[in-house]
Amino acid sequence: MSFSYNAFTVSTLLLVSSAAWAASSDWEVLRKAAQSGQRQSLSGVYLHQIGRGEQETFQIYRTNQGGQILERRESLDGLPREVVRIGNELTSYAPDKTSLLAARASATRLFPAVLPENVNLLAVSYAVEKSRQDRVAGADCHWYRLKALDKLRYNQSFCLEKISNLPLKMVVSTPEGAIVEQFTFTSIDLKAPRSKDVFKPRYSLSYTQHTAVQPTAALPTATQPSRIEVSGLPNGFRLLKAVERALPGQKQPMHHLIYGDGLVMLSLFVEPKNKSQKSRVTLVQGTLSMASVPYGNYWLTMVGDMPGQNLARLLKSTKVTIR
Amino acid sequence: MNESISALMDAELEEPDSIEILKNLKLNEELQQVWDEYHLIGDAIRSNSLLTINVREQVSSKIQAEPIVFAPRPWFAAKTRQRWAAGVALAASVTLGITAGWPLFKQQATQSVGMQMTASQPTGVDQLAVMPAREGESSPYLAAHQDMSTDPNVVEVSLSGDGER
Repeated sequence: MSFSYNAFTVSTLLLVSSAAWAASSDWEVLRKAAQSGQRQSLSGVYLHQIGRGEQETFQIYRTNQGGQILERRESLDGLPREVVRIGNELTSYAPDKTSLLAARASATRLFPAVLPENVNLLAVSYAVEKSRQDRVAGADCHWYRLKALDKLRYNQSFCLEKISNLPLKMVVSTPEGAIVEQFTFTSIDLKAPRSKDVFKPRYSLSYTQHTAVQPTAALPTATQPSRIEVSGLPNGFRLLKAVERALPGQKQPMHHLIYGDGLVMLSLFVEPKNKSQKSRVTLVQGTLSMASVPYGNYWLTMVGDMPGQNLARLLKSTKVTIR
Repeated sequence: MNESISALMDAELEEPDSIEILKNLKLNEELQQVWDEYHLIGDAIRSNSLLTINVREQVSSKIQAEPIVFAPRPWFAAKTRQRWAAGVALAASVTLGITAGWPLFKQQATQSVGMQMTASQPTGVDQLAVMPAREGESSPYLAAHQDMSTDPNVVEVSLSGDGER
């Protein structure tokens, strides 16, 4: 009996350690995928599908120039727009104002740079699972799935190219399994483009993201929040930035706090209550939802990549104190 | 007044209020500009719905124009060391960028405007149905979210994990 008990214990320990090693190995693969997704030189075309209906296609070129990433993506259909990345600077280009705003929207989804470099951040909020082998754009790849631990956030799956670990396909699905967004390469070449001309923007109007954001006054920094306190957010969400700003067309400044879990960003807006505002939950586009509720003498609005009702539940459980 | 215009565009005003806002809009050029701006934002947010679903021809022509066929193995085998060296150099560059950029970002943070608040629980939101964005609906909140979520300072903090809950 003692022998069989010991054998059972040893085999259980072996199984547990084996599972832990596999999970650790999977996170290591995702870490490489993050680097590859941000930096791998490439030329390709990818399809972006939102829900079951809307699709758009982008041509993307990327290279390393003197240690700096040079990247340009251009829409092949719909409104003409380009997003150019030089190092950490992101600039949208378009021929007219409407297209330029659309370009700014496109600049928020920079496939295949879809994983944070520090994937350890994700372990707080997600479990990783390796699954089947597949082929995308003529290349062999392996599926890895990030499953949200709190069942509030979307699950995200990535088919990673076998050698470079570049994400060739990404699928975002609800906790119930419904697919809400996909990115997939339809052609890919893991080499830098031969000509540098492909990195030159062709449109005249431009918008550089970080210089265009002009907060009227900054709140305490992300690492020193003192006058505004927010609690009740799920594990893994960290304060990235807090500013006080007036939104376009409005004179009254409001608090704008940005939270992120490494994959998802949430904006929380806190402003004095206005009579004309009503509680509501809106599915803005694709994975992006918005919810608004009254909160004492204030009005809370949350925008982020989360199913609408889940975002509303999260907003309801959020507690805000302003001194 | 701007909030009222936004509410009007979202069909959230009663009829007497709507008539009053429309009268003001006819007379006030500044309000007309706000009206145009809100619509422009709304159009941009819904830009994807304008996209054609049939993209095969354009994709095919781009694919045909691509001179190189995907072949990762020869590339990887031949240039592994060079690529690693470039990767290490780039990693050092990015780290330097974050190190240099983050203190600058922190210096920009100044005093906040003090606000007093009576805390109470939000109500009723879980009873609401999720509505799709409506035609003509504007959302400066979404535009602000998109601005911030692509702000390099925010992205760097997000990637490096320097923030706090």
